[in-house]
Amino acid sequence: MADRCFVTYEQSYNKKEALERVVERINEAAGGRVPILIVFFSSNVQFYYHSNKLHEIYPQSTIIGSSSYICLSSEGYGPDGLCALAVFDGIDCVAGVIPEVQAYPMQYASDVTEAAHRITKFENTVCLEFTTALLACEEIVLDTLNKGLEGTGIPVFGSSSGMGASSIMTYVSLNGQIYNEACVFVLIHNEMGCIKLIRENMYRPTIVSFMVTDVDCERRIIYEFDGRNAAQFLCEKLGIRKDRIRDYLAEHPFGCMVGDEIYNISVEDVDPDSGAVYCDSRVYNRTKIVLMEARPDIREVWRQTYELAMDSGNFKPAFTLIANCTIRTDYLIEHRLIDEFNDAMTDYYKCYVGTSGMGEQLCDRHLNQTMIMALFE
Amino acid sequence: MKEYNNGLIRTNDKCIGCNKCVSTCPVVGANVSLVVNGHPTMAVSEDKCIHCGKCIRTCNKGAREFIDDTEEFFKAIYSDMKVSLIVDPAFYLIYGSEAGNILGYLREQGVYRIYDGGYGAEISAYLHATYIRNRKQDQNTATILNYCPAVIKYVEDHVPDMLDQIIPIQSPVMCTAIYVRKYLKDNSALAYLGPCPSKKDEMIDTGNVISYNVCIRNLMTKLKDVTFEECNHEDDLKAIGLGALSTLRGSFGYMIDRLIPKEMLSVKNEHIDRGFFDFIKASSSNGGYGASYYDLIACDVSCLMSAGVDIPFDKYSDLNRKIYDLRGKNLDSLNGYGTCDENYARVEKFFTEIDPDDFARSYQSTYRQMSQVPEDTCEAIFNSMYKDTETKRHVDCGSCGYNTCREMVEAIAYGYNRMENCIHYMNDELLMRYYTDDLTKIANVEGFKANVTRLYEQNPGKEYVIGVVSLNQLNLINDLYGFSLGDAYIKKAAEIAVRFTKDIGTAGRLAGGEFLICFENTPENMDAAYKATTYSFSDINVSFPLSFRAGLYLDRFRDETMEAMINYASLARDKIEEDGVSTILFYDNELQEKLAAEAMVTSQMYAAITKMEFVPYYQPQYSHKEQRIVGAEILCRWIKRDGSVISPGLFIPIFEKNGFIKTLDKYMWEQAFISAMNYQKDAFHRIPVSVNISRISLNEDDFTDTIRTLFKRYPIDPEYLHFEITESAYSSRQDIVSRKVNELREMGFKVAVDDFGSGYSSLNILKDMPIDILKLDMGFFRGRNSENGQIIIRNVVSMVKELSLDIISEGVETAEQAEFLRHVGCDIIQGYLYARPMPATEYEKLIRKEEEDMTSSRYENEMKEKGVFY
Ligand code: SF4
Ligand code: SF4
Ligand code: SF4
Repeated sequence: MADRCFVTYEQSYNKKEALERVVERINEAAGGRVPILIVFFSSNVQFYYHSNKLHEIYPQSTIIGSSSYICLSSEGYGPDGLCALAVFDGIDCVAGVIPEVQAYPMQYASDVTEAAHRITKFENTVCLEFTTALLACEEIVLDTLNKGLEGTGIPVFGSSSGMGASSIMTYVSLNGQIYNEACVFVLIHNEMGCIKLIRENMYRPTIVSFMVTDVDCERRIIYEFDGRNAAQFLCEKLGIRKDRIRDYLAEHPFGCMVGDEIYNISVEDVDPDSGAVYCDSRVYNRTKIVLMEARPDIREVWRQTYELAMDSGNFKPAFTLIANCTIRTDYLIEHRLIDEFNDAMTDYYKCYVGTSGMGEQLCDRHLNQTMIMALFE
Repeated sequence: MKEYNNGLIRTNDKCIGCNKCVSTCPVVGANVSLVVNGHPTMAVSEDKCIHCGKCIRTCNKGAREFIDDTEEFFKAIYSDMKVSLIVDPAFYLIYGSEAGNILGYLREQGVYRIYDGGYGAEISAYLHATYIRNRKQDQNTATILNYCPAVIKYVEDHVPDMLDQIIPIQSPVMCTAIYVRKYLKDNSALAYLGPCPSKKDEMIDTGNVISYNVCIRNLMTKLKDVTFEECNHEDDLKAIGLGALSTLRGSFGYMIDRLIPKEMLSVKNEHIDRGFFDFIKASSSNGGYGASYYDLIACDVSCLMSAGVDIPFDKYSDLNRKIYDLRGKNLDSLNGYGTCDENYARVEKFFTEIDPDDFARSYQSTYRQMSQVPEDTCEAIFNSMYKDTETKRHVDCGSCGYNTCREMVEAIAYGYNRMENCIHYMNDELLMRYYTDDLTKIANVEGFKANVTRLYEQNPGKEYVIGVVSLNQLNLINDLYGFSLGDAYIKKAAEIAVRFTKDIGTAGRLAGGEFLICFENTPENMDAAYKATTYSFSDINVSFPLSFRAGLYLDRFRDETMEAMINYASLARDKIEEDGVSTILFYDNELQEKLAAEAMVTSQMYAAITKMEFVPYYQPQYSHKEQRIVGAEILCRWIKRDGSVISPGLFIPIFEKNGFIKTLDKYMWEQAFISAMNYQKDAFHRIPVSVNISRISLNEDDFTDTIRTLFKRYPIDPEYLHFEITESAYSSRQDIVSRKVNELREMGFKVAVDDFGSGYSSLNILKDMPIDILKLDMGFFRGRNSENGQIIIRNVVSMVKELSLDIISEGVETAEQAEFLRHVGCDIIQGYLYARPMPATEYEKLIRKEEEDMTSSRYENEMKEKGVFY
């Protein structure tokens, strides 16, 4: 029996060549079947081309994609080319778009509800979404998706789109249509079993903690910690000079303490003059923050995630989708761990495909510097 | 901090942060609570403010201001720029006949043309009516009049769903501007004189056809010193119908009503309300509330109450009456009389020349969806506001300016407000502070008492133990590591106390290193308490284990006050010496009696000195060999005037504890000097006496000076006075003790080590200390293994002899002991076997008798030797 899904990646600067190879392999794996769903990732440069062409070639398939910092997959990884997951059997999916994500996505919540009611079953269904980045809109998109999915129990899993270092815009796409200010989503019902959602935090809390006391939530700017100028407070608390604070915080994300959980928020910039700290996720006033540091035992982190995901071998995923934050990817590259990471992922999860974007969305949280995984049984 | 107060509405430094403006403001987040230089203030966020100006009226501190273009307007006319003025009907209504003179003055200053804004109101009402009349019944078209710019801004900024509900016709003021510009061909810059700061937004949104928004209040303030001359001012454009009254609340709708069928229901006089738009939205999506239009304005009563005018409320009713009179008079004008169709036809004819498209308007959404505050964030904020029950989360008193506690919590999460603006939080916080210890954040004494009271109320059948716990070694830690580590020790100890009492009672901090605990009296709990020995504090870098001493009081009958119980526990704790291991002592009857006795002793000791109740008693020391008294130890007896005796076993430890022993020692030394002096004069009595020096007196810096002074006062032969120092005094600060002992010896006095063998004796004393006499306690005889004691005594005696020290055995009670001592070579004996301590008179008698006996026996012997027999 042919496999129900197929992952392929072609690393190539030549977009035409990349597409041709990917399509060739998908068709071979399809054995005459039409893919129900194609999830694809590529660099900004090639994104427009791949989005259009894939839709032209597979007009009957649901094709959802996002620009990515690098493409990750069990067939290799890299910043260029095209990476795709094609699912041929065992799923039902309904897709949609939420435009105007920067201003008023909520007006489209009813579209999400409608989509949810077109899916076979709420159970064993996930809402996979990709949202254009740099618009500080992920939280309101999540509000919208969750509002639309209210009462269905369908969780949200997704990523802000990514981009290469020289780009200034990110893209998402649905069925050949490209957006630079939207969220594209697809509700995927797994007919073959359950869907597991996992979050991996490779950072651990330090003893340095404080509370946000002045913030511009909408702009994601923190002005004060514990009633003191944010940057100055951090410099004093950490015993470092103002000109070092940016670099320090790049390696030490904020851990947002919520009950027993800690969610990472990365610091985009610090204005040493005004003391303002610019974050990549919304932080509310009176949030308890703990400074995080990378765990030295990263391989152990991967192994623990695997243990958790596989439930001691009782769970066998057919395919796995991951969203691995750009900063995390950079960390792996800088520490020469990226090869090992991709090998471990391939080894552990076999058929996997992933994007590296500017934030991760899991249920009702927008996170940074995290890896999230959706494992389809 | 984000930038605030940089828009049309601003807060000045008169603000006291009272929250009043929050409650009247239609927009959550337009008012932001800040603390600037230690002062609370409520700033305006330009991102959210719709410039309705309601807060300017609301604020009775004059802390809110608006910005308009009055200054720029004057600059423009004085710079010979061609500026025409559109005058709002409100101006004519407020200033009546004076209005013409004021406008005449402005014309003199350079204003080019002056137009009555009521004219545009007529155009706007006519076009609004046309829109409403032409609307198909089943069409879901716009229903909100474009009249108030703050309403429009509110919808554009905050209620985007209602944007298509605003009738796409220009407002009265803009209709005037467009009319004069296009139809009267006036190309001069336009200014608008009116009551409304938020008109500026409309000017910007509609392409700056009008350049200057001049508010009546600011204009009249600027011209306050001008005397307006009578003049025959005539407007260049005059309203001809009800437009002259359009500023009055509901008047614009009233004008429209005259032009549309009567059965078309309208809703007037509504002002912006957070919920009203939901109502309109719900009613329009439900097939309609049936209203043909909604006439909404931001100001409470009318534009005449806007922030840009300054009419006191009392004057407002006069003005209102005047306006209603005028309305009656104007009814027979253009749009006032006849049926709606007749009126409409007349107005339509009047405005045939205008192209409605010139007066059309569109609206832009500037809305940005807010993210929903996550439940866990709200939960955390509720909890930090001590709102930990549903009741507390629904106080909804509105003092913070918000309708509900939930709104306030969300405002805090967004950073618009601060917990300190919730009066209930502040009350709870004050209570909390009153009940909480600053350093450890656990309950203080008051908090502990309150918690215990609650515990008792909730558990009427249970028996509790109240305890006072002191940390051992706190002073040492403070000395060794500094106070900050001492504080860390206290904090850690607080955690331990809280952990120990969790689920079984409660804990609090009394002061310093003292804690209060209360826990249920069960075998398990008591077992846990007694098992606590030492604790490791290595996590705060204290390298040695730490311990506590706890006094406990078992509250069996709940018949004591909390203070009394704490006091009892504290007294029990005081009975425990600081030690390396944790110790617990219960307050009981025996202890109570002891404490009563202690209180009695302490209260009477000073009087006892003056009453000379401390009496020297003498306990003789016998020499076996010489068969006579060779010395006496002077002991102190407290004999009260009534003849009762207080035992030294009771008062000496108390005096040692409270320091009175120093006074008593000095007193007894003087008595000893006096005795020695008296006895050395008498041949019979030329026997040394010895007196005790307590450890505490020995430690006094002036100890040897005191002895020296007495020696000067009573110049005795030092041979006749010995000093006894207890063995334990040698155990600490040996160098200092030996220096002092040496000084005594240098004065010629002999020094004895007292009670050697009563404690854990160290032979080092014999080696290191400069002593003359060793007083051997019979402690070595006591205990289970007296044979071993005998061996030790034998050896000690031989050692002492080898060291050429004198040795006296004290506490000898039996003939066997005496015989043994004699046998091992300890010649001098003191103890009950021979004599108890006795008053001076008895002692003297005893000596005298002994001398006499000795004399007679000597005489007998001599006689015997001489062969004389009786
Ligand atoms: S009403 Fe508002 S602006 Fe006025 S004093 Fe109170 S808080 Fe300040
Ligand atoms: S002007 Fe109106 S919207 Fe602005 S702060 Fe005052 S009351 Fe609120
Ligand atoms: S209890 Fe506090 S938060 Fe609740 S409404 Fe009153 S002042 Fe506002």
